[in-house]
Amino acid sequence: MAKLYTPAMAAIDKKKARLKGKVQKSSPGREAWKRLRRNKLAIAGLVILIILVLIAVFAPFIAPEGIDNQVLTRRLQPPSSEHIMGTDEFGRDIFSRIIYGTQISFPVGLICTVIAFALGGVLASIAAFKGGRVDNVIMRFMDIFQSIPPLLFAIAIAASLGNGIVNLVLAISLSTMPARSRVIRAAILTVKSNDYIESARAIGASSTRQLLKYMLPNAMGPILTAFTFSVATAILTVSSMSYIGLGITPPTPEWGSMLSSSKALLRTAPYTLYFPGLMIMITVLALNLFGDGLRDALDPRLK
Amino acid sequence: MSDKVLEVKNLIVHYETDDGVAEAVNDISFSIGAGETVGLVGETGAGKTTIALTIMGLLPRPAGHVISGEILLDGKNIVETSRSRFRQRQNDRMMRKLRGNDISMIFQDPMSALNPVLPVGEQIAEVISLHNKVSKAEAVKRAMEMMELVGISAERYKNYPHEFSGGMKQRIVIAIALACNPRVLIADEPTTALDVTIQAQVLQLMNGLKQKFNTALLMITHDLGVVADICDKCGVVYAGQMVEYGTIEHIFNNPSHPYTKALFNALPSLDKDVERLESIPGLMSDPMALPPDCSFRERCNAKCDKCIPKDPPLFELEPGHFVRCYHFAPSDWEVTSGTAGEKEASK
Repeated sequence: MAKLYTPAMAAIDKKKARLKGKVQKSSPGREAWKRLRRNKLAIAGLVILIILVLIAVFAPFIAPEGIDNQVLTRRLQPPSSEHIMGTDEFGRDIFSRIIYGTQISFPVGLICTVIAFALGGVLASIAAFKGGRVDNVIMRFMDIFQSIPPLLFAIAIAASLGNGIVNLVLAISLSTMPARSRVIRAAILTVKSNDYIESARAIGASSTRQLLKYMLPNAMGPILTAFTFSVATAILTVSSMSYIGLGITPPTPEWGSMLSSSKALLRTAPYTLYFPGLMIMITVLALNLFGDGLRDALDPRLK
Repeated sequence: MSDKVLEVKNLIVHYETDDGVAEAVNDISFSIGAGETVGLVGETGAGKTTIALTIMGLLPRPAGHVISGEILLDGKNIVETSRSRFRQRQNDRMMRKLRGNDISMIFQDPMSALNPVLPVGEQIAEVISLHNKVSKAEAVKRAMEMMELVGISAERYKNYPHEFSGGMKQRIVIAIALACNPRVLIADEPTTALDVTIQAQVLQLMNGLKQKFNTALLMITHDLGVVADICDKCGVVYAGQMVEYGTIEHIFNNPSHPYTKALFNALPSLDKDVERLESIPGLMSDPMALPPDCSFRERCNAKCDKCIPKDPPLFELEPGHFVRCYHFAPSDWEVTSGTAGEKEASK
């Protein structure tokens, strides 16, 4: 019987030809990215985050004015085509200040979280790996830290060290560190009992190698997710601290301190409050959306 | 074949938990020569895996303790019975160098024995570079050779474990275990998680590689078919004791201990026509409360007046064939000391 060559077969052949020579790779990271890409909300969050980062990087080119360009003749003007977000009580262009604000909130939030995770991570890894008495001592120490509400703790540290970005970062990192270390410890404990850890021991891997090459990479899913959420929390905390005057002080255009300095204008010029608040909300929302998507992508069973 | 690579002598291992002491391994002795395969069979909980972990020095801490006994690797003792932290740490350091290099282990479940976030090739290369001072490129080259040796194309070096089937993963695990050409290979139920056709392939592969590298192989299984396939000697383990030990011919042609016989009766046979397979009534004694007499006595269908209430020793039935049962006591054998309860007293 003669073989019929149908269009469907031709299509398959074409596809085969296209795939030929291309090695299909699928690392766990690639798989997670595939899943993440399907999640529209997470991608929206990611896009917003990328835009915000770009704004921060190219702020001098986007902002029409500097951060402290006081022109007292144009005080408290509502949004117009000239000043799309209006001007504040000193006649500064709010839009410019908002743009420059991305340069503060993002890096500060990120650095706080990185420090919290690095410090907490080291302690938590040791605790989870060693177990027993070591675990108990470290984690009880964390409990003591955690018994103080984080914001209150941060306020206490900032109040005793004084204002300034460095002190603020220190205060926020230290106050959030216990909670972060808990996440990392839990993540490591879940992978610790896996057979491949036993296999690692069976090939003679040292403790450090077991921890760094086998446990941490496998525990990375929940840690990464917690990381994105923590950045959001840190940004909120920075703003809260600045709002109560213990964080970044004017004229630095931090969104929280902008909110704070215009709170008296709520009745007369509410637009001075809208935009900083909106920016904080958008940033935190984007981070949370992305974090949610990341969690679903890294641990598909959780859904 | 005469040189003993691994010798286990009177090994006693206990797990000390809050609920009491579990006597997991009670006085086990056997030895393996280069290129030889010894099988350990027994039901779940008999202590087979504990024996393997003790040899590897991977007993779970802090519960697991080697109470007494020796494990000799090439004549050198590798087991630490002292409870001193210092001595144990010293032993740990020594064992870490041996593991993967001189003694390797193949785990039961290949699905979970590989690190999911590392390409398989790198996992093989890792053992090689851990134990040999070789360059990265050399380790990669040797890892690829190992992959080809176990029948997996070296092109798949960069693939991750989830891209392989169970049988292929087990081949990778075997490649990791044999990468440093160890003196002793311990296989803990290496085929249990695989289907029958793949089982045969994996066994064949292990047998071939064992001969090629002249490795001493300890095969732990509860499948007598696997034992018949590749073992030279076989020990039947029950409640942490070796109840019968001998060459494969001894065990299969002349199974003597009632437990061994019962195991064979529980297997389907081609030349016997039976309605139902026989099962062994009851459960294995609780390792937390082993009876002072023969541990199989309660389930034994051959118990009689000879079964004095004392733990039986191993009797040599024929040269090299040992049975732990009073039925095989030589006529001139007498209970020299102790009666019931001696076991309790000596604790």
